[in-house]
Amino acid sequence: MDKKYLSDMLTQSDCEALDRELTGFGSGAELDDETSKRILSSVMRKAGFEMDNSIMVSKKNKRMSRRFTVLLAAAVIAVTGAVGAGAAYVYRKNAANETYFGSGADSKLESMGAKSGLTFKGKHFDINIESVLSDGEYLTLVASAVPNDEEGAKQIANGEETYLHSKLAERGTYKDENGNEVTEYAEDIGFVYEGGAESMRWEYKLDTPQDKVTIPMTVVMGFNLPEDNIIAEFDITFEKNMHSVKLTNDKGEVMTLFDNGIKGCDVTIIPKTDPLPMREVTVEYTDGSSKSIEIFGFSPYDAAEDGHYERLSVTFNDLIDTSSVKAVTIGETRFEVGG
Amino acid sequence: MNDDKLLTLLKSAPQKGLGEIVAQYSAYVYKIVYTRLRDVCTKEDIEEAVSDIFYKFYQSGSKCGFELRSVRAFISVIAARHCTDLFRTHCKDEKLLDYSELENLIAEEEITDGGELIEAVKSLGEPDSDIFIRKYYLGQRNKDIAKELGMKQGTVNTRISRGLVRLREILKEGR
Repeated sequence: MDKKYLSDMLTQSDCEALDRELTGFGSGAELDDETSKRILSSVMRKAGFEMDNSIMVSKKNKRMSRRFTVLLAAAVIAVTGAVGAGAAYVYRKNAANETYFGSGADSKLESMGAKSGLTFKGKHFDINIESVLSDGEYLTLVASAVPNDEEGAKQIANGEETYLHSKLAERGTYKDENGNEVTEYAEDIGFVYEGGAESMRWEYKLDTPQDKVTIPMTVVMGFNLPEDNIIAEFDITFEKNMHSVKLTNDKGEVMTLFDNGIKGCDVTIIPKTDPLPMREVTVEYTDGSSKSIEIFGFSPYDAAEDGHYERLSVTFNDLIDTSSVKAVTIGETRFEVGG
Repeated sequence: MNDDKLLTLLKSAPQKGLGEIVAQYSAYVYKIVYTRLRDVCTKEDIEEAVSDIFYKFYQSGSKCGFELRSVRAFISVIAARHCTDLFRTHCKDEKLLDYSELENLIAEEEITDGGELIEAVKSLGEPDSDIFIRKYYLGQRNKDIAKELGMKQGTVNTRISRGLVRLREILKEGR
């Protein structure tokens, strides 16, 4: 039998049973202030949080899941809300495409016919539509919100956040166990503050696939949705422009890989060894190379306990050349092209 | 702040939650890393490793929406694996890279389930389970274990050798 290091063998649940022993090991452990500060600063930098004295400013993609609440959003804003106002901003054109699809994404998007040059002038912000993608079922919109006056610059510098939204994605409200009203949205959103502007990504799955569809969009300031928070309203037409390829696992289950994601019905995914990583996608190419893909959205948000998904979709912070893919591994389940 | 509150904070305010986690667990993680890597890494390397462990914690936790039962357990697994990887990278002495007596025993008894092993180690009782976890999982030296548990080093040595024999018996009985 192959030998393993103990650290590779024990999982999170194993260590939960060792709480007393681990706590005992840690008791009395101390660290001087200077070392603590250096470590804290280093961790925050790696995680994308910039520390400004006691205030931390988020520069990371603060994606919310398909299911998020107004209450949660309010808490996020409360933490990020107090930064210096009036900061100068420098926005790079098409920066949002690079934020969500990696460097060099522009030429790929251009060749797909997915780049857009639309700009909508809104309240305090110009909304630049950078890319519009569709595989006929999954829609992706990437845009930037760039302040067009001092008020916009002040709002965004103060930590206010803009995001793309469609009323089509609102799935209604309900009361939680504390009596608070919770709104559910069937959309994935991302927003990243950078250089005084906001890079935004919006994803939505059509109930019925369509090669061409027009969606009413809004750009909203903050998570609460009163009418006066709307920055801009416009329609975006999505035309099918992504390529796709079928992949099969050893059970014969099929998934479809498209340029920025993978989807399937009735598939079983074996999660990779607990606890690292929970979800991982690796793409193998026909030239023998492989790449670990950063995930943008994973639906359903909660992992299936038995690994079986009636419907599964994973979208990427990357663009895949589907014509040169040999296989895709999700967790520990490998899907081969034509397999 | 207990783990439940830390996790709630991480979900609602990630940067603040991460800051609290680092503040609360950095001494613990530093001790794990220092214990395991002090012979092969500089102080700067150790600090960098601690920072990387918290970052991995944040990345991995984000992927599951911080639906964790225990921060300590999760971060301990990440720390132990990260230290093993770094030790393999930095250690030039092949003897030190060899598997421990416990890892050899696990292989000989064909134990593949960590839960089964932990149950067996726990059945050794205190303080042997503490000694085994410190020595074999966290890499603490016998003399340091003795000092922290208030024992003589000879006692720790004896408990380890007898504990290994008992552990083998327990694992065999479990089959």
